[in-house]
Amino acid sequence: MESRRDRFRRQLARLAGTGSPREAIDAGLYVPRPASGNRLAQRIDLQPNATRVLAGPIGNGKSTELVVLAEALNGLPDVWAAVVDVSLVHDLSDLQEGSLVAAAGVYLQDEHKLDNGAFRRLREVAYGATNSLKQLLKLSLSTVSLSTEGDGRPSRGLLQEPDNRAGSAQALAPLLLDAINETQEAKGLHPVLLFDSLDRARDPSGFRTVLEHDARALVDHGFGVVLTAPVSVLWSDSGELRALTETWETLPYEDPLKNAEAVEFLIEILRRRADLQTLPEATWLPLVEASGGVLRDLIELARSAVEEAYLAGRDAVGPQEVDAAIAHFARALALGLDGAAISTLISVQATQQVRVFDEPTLRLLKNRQILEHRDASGSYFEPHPALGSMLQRWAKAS
Amino acid sequence: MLIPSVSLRLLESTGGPAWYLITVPEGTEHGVAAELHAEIVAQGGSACVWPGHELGSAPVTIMVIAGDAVSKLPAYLDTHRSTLANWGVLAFVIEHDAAGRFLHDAPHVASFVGGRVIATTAEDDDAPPEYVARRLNSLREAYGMTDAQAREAFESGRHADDIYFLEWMVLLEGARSGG
Repeated sequence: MESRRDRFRRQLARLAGTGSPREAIDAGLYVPRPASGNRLAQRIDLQPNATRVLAGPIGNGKSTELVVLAEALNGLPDVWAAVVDVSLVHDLSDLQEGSLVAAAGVYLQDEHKLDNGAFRRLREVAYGATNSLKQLLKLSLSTVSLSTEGDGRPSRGLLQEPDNRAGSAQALAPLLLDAINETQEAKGLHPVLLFDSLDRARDPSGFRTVLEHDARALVDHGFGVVLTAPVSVLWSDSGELRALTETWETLPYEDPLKNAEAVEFLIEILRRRADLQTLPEATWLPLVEASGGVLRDLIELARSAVEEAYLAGRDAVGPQEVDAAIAHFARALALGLDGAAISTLISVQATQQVRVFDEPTLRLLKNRQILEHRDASGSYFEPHPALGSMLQRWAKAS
Repeated sequence: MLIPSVSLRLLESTGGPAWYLITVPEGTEHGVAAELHAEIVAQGGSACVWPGHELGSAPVTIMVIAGDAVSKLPAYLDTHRSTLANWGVLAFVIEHDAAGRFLHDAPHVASFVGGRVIATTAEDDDAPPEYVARRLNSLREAYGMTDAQAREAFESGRHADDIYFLEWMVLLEGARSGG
């Protein structure tokens, strides 16, 4: 018979929020989102050869959606799709022209175990002798052109002096296409690359560079491209960036306090992960409401409540453990908030709007102390619901 | 929280990625990290401490965030989150007052830490007695044993590999030496 300790351990393992998306999907833990469905997959099916952005705030399941999207695309008869986690092969603070194409070549070789002469050439070009992608940026035009075995000479316009790495994306893209086309898996299919982890790039100008040059070069050579966007551009004027893409979709946090469909979606996430003996159904709604619709926070709150129940010597999570989990979470979320931040939170709670998108407010948005939701009439904002009790106390004190 | 309890919590999390922020009094970051490391080893686990050891070279990685690292590391850790996910259990040891800034500067890391922020004292003796009492009570309820029965079971080897019994013994020892 399973011991109490083993039962709790098994439950905690199913609530491991930092686990890989692939493992979660394979374990049947993925729940399709209410609205988006496979809209992006359908768009790519209609027009594979385009640049598309999938943006969204932190902890909202973008990486998982990319894996699911790749799976859906690979189910189409004429598409070959792969997710590329750029951060595993390249420093995101160093996004420059050519780095995305080179990173794709290296990642597909390392993680997807694709290998042929073209991939090996691509790796040589990317890493050179220093075993660093930075080497790419030191390449002269002639080196890149030699690697492509063709002219590959880029056009930078009559009035622009090409620098020593200009055109590297255009030169590398056909090499990557050759590499992929030579594999059995992708031969004769439309390649679609889904670039994950770019949401963690801090410098929007680096993202702009790879969007402008690498994504364009890949599309010019027949690829479909999907990129995640840096969190920092979510609340800034991204018109210029959007103009460089065919579509720009944002995955907002679902609102469990106003939207019944969102509640069903979030409850279903817990249903797939919960052992009813340990995390009974009666505890789900308060956890869902306290999560504010942030998927990672929901799983983290549930995990913490289970841990609390175990430490308290109980057989199952009850209201006390849910409250304790929310209190722990709120304390972590409130760490380092100063008076100005608290005033902003109180104001957002009252108005459901953000008055000024200045740097301190953007930090509150990035760090989930303020959550943005969307409905038919547009965006509205609220403090993270886990902060509710603290905010009441602060409001009284002020 | 007691350092042995923190180390047990970290050990218990091995087997899957789990990130913790351990906050400590100013100037004790390296000392607490060394104590955590020693406790984990004493309890039969394996840990590495950065700076010093290679990152991710043991199931538990303890990273000291002190000095220049407080301002420089958040950006690095945030952008390398995918790599960190392969390092198993990760404990960031940082001064209480710098913890908020660290989380604010590394929002992706903060999202993975979630509510796992543990405040610890530099000296075990400073652990609040109410914590020890509550924890001992939880263990008694969970296993349906008195302290004496637990000690006997542990000493006879029946629960020698159960880290909660080890914690139980550490807490009893602390309660006794604390008077």
